[in-house]
Amino acid sequence: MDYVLHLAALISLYGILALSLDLMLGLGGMMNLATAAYIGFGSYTYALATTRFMAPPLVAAAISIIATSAIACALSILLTKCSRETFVLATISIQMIFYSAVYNLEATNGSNGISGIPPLAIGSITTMSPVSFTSLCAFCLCLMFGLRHKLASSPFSLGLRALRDDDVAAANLLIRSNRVQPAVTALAAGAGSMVGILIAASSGYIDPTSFVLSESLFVLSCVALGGFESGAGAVVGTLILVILPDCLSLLSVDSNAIFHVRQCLSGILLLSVLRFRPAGLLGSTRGLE
Amino acid sequence: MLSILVVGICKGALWALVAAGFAMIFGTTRVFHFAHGAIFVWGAYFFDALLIFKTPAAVAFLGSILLAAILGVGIDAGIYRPLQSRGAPPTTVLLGSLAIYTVLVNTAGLAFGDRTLVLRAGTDQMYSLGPILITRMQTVECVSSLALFVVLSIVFRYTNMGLDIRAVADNQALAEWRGINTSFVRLVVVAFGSGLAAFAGIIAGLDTGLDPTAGLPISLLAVSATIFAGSDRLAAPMMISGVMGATHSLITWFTSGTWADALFYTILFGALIWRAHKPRESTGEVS
Repeated sequence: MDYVLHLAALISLYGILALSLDLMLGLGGMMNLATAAYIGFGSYTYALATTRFMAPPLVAAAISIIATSAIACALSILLTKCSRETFVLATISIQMIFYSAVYNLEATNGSNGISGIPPLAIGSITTMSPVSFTSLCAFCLCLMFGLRHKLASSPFSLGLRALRDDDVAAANLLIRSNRVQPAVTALAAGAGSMVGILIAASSGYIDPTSFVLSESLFVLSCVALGGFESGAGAVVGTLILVILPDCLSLLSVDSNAIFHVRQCLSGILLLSVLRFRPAGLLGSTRGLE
Repeated sequence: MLSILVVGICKGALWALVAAGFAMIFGTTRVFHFAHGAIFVWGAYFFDALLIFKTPAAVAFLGSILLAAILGVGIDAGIYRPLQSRGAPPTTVLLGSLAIYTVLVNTAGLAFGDRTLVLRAGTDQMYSLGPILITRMQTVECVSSLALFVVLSIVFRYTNMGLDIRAVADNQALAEWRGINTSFVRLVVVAFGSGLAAFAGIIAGLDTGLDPTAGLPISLLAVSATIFAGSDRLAAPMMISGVMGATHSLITWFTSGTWADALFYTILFGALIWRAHKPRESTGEVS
């Protein structure tokens, strides 16, 4: 039972990330590979605020979400003029800078990580018990799904899509890339930091190795597998990519091997989708054109 | 201090080789071949695997370069070409390339483990030239990179094959119409570029050792250098990579290694932003 709950929580968390990346990539055409940095930044801000500055967990969570969104927004203003390839490279750089910084800073305790992070509690729902943690994650997933759905059918998303399809025409319609794109980046980063907070609050311990580029690539695979511009697609892609390798983990015990197998599998699935069904399982290819 | 600079230049020369291979492949195929860094790493692992089977070192060396070339051609023929012939947008091909990178790096991790692979046993012989201390491997790095660069320039400038490669890079449709076998040129370029990466990988493995993720900074740098300098002239991306390689060594020396990566990526990020904010006309942006 605990295993099923754990799996459900994992799917919910990655689902949130996939949905937020779909907002950026599917609607906005921005291939962001700094997802893990957002999660990490959220986790670390929460952990530092609660353990160093003794902030109440809820306040720390709010600070963490706001800080992550603000920084992502600021960085994304710098990136609005980049071509798509440059955007990919720049976000990979952000990811690597973040990893290297938390790995080396004394404040983040380097590779030892931070332990003793207090759990998050809202009334009787706490991140400590598996049942309420999983339901909290599932609730956040539903929230994110609803938000994505609402946003995808709003005038805001029309601007985002216009920028994706033709930035000159969009500029002609007075859609400003330096407003629309940072806004959606801030939203995605906020969602990422929420996931980070949930992870930190439930396990009580974080270290830099959870926030590596492979995680960002994994989320990207989830979105691409499910299909761009589709909320259901992002969730289905996550479902497949989380469950499939986890079945393998029942056979073997070496967690490191499982990590590699999971990455390999997501890569191979992604390649076969690109090759044989470029729209993904449930989506459209327009995000990439 | 001078020694550090020389060591840095040696490392830079090696990175420049990888960048040259990348720029060649990009020029001909128009693919951001992100997995190039993984081929760099696999070159070293192929070498290691062949040594395990008691192959003589020279044979293993050539064999692993050949295997890497086959791997590169396989990726191109199996993934990039079908994607492009279907008319997939460049970003999709880039996504494919990232996926290949993931698969290759993680298969290396599965097969050989995540620890650093050092191909050489014991410490290396040191030479001193006045105040400069240099190991045998670093000399090999420097000399072989220079030699290969000269060979590359000659091939590009004075042979028929070089002319064909440049023609295809310049205008593929026109080259095809003129009777150049473009798919053969493409095959040669990808094989040669991958071979260069593998060569660099083996040397890096012999010198400082590498782990499966070692290809990432080199890949990133090669892609960025090509975005900066274009792929018309191999010398420009090579120079950029060389300078950055040397810078990386210098930063490593001055900050005792801990901050080298962070600074390296910050420089890269800054440079990319600066490039993106320059006026469109003069950038020669590749997209």
